[in-house]
Amino acid sequence: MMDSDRDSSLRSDDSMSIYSSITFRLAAVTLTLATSLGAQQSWSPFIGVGSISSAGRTNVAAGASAFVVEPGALVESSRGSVLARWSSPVTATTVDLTDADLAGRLRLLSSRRLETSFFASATYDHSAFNTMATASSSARLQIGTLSPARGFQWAAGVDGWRSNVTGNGVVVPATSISGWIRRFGLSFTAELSARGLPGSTSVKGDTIGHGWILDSASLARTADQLRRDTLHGPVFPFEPGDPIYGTKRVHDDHTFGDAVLRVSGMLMSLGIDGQAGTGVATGGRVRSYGSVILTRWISPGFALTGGVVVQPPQPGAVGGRTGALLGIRLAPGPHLFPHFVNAPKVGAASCSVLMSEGGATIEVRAPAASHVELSGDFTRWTPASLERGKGDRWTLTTRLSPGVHRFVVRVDGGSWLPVPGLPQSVDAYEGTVSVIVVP
Amino acid sequence: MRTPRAIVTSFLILMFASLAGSAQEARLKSALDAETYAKVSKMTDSARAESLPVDPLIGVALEGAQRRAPGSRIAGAVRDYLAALRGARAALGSDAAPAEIVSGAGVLLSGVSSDALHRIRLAGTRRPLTVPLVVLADLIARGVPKDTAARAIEAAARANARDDDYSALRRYVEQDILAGASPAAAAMLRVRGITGGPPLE
Repeated sequence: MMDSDRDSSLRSDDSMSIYSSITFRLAAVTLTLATSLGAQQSWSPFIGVGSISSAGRTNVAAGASAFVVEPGALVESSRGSVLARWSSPVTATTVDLTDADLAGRLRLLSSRRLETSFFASATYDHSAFNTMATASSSARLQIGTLSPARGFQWAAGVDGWRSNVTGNGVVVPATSISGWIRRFGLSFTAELSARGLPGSTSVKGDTIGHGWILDSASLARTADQLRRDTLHGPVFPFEPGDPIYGTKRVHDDHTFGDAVLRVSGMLMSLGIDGQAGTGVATGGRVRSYGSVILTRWISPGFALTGGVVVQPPQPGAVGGRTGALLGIRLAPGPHLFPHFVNAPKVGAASCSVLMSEGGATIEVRAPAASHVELSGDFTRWTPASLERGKGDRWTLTTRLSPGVHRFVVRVDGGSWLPVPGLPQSVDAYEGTVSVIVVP
Repeated sequence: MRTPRAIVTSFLILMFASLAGSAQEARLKSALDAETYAKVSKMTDSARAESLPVDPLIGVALEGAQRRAPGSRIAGAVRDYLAALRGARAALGSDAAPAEIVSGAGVLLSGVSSDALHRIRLAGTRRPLTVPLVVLADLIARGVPKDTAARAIEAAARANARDDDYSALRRYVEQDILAGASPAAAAMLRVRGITGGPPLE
């Protein structure tokens, strides 16, 4: 019986290892393929200091250990978007946080006002610090409005996750409804979501309503799992069998209701990304969480960034995490790589200008956009709507006098940004503008 | 002697120009608060008196209003731009075309020294500098160190590069950076395609 249990747990660990790393590998393959096909890509290194606290312990990283590289690729077409991204510290000694995200959004049917879509995402979140490695995924069928400045979206599907600590594998039904409004270059979103309760009998060690105690065998499996999952030769916080959690209770409550308010976007040259939420878990527990990350662009490609994050425990994790960061971020432009593709609108992909007698036709390609505007010196910096052409093409024909003209483009009420494909210049407000030269 | 038709045509052109200017002023007045408008108007009047391009200054103010910048910030941006226009004309020469002055101002605002701008003027006397200076500002915006970018454009101007050459330089550097090359290395390497010489040190 004991041998059978051991074999079973080994098989479970093996399958868990595959499950945990498959997201990372998929993200790597997608990133490589997308790069070779010429997709938009981004490197956004962060250098600074950061701290993370969990289960009563605090770790502070600075200097080289806080140098984080975040490569990513975004593939866009009029049918949808795929985003592959990972974040990893560049260090040979510790891997405190390594995560990989793979997300895709496929448009199914759309009319003038409504759009149905399918969204799927997978995340691999590995933290050697608090002995947690969680893989989670979700799939949703969605229906939402296509209004440029405000709208709502309802989604229904399933969530799944597995944890290295508890060994749980859970798939539950989930649904959410969200509404958003865009003002002043910022996007405000309110979301209510709910998850079904997992079945307690079908999940090993996953008992609703009370904690359970890790034994030494569980610790050994966890350490072994960490050793196999870690990329750069980890420093383990404990040796296999060390009963560091022998007397700790591991709470594994499953959230079934969440209310979240988010705000993100650019206000002048200040990037704002914040959220505040409350979740109600089984047993009547209420968990509040939130984060604020502010990024101040000093010049294109260089920004100061800092903030605090309070995370609730991930399903199957030991505990929640609290962190803070302060440092500089290097990026090719005054905007961060989009970390989120589950929005009905995406930005401009390219731009070209066709000069004619006394004027020009500006063509912007913006897949999945429903409204594209341009603002520049030749519109007296007043937003002008572009006319929808074939496919994802949007055009504006205007008179342009000889000289240097500057403009920015906004897609679906988002931020005013320069467009790829044209020269850029720093503007007087620490942003970047596109430039057209008329001979 | 002017014909009546030429006189009427000149009158109509002046009238439309005046109306366009009035429309621009009205737009500026409605977009700014009274105090900021007074400051900006004073600066545009100065620019007009010095025969500097005025439209870009109004554009800077309107852009600030669109971005909801505070009035003091708008006035400061217009002041900086006016200084950059003056600096560009000083560096490029009194015979510089308005478009060259505007693109030169953009370069100065990107952090390039007026000496470097003057060297580019001396290196490229045979062709207009509007496109080279726009490409210079673009290279800096993409992360090429300003001294490296200025020397690359100066080398290209010395090699009598055409506007198409500069556009190609910008495009290739952009591609190289996206492919993972460092901006400085990309600029130094690609300018060889124009100069035909060894890479810039």
